[in-house]
Amino acid sequence: MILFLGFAIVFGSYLKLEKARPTYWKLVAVLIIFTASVFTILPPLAGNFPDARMVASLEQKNIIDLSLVIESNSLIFNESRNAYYGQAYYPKHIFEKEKETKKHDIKIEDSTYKKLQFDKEILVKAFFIPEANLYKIVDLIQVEPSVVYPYVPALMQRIRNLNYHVPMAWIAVIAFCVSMIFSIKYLRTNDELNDLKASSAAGMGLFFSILATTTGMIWAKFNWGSFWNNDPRQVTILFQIIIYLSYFVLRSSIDEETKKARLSSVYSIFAFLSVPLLTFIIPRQFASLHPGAQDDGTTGPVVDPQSGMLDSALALSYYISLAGFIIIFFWLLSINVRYRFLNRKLEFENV
Amino acid sequence: MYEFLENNSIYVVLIVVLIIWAGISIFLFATESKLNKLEKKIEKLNLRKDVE
Repeated sequence: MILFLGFAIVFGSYLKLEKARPTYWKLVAVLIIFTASVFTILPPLAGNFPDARMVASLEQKNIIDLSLVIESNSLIFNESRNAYYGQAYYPKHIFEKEKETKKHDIKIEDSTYKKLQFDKEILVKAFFIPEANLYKIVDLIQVEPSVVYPYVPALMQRIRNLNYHVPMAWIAVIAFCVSMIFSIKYLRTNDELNDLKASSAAGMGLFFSILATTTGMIWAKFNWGSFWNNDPRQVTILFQIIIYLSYFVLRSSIDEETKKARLSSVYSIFAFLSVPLLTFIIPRQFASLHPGAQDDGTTGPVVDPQSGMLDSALALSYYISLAGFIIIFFWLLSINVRYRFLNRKLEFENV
Repeated sequence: MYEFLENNSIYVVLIVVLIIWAGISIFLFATESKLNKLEKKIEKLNLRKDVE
């Protein structure tokens, strides 16, 4: 986590913001964001046997979305474990092609059903029948799936939102931090360009906060039932947006340039004091629908992958996505800063 | 519509991704139009210099 975050921040910011990014830098940025997208969308979801049992016990039986990883040698054919796992059967026609290529060893047990035996890991569509205590396999999806994401009945495919929604909130924090750093620099050097950088960064932070809120609202509609749930994190990000909106109100209300720069720098430094409080501390003090809340007992899967909720493949793709979005953020910030520098230069020449 | 999205949750992910890219493209469009204005300004200045 820290490795990826550190790499992205260092790679994103080692060039000065007012300088044009070289081609290799842009290529790396695009490559990382492409890799992140592929890693987020491509891998199938895969549950395990307890998941299948749990889905069967739910009121809405969602048979189609469940896929299972079956390791043939260990799980299904171990007779001693039958009591717990039941038995797996599958319709005859599905594995006909596999048999022809003779890649896999298939045992025929019955005229209508074959008993499944693979020497490789396979991903299948399946469901559990409680009455008969067996797993029925409907379809074969993939043999030896390389990367799979965990099946969470409450989230299903929405688990992929993690790679898009969470980086937005992280970028907002980083942007506000950058704004504070340049505000301090301005107060030390009195260089107006630092003030421009600080206000650009604050604007980007506001922009990404709003993106985090809207994407979060869409996600909340499907997981929690409504767009706005007054969840602690939703409320605190709203506060954060209001605090930084008032930063721009403050800026636009002062005409004199140096006074504007100095006042808004001081405001930005103090506004950043609220950011760790609002994003990291307060949401953990209350019972929340977000992971990592007070009733959760952990710091949440994103900060602490060992808390058992974040699968290692998903964690890796999330870190790649986070790094990619952070680099994109520095790219956008640099474009904005360069525009504003040019604008400022022109105004000076005009006068 | 809600039910469809509930059952096909991959499209919720699609909506989220599209919102993010729409946001970034709005930012790019805004910067582009600001740059266009700046370019026009510079052109005017150059013309004035030529006249002088």
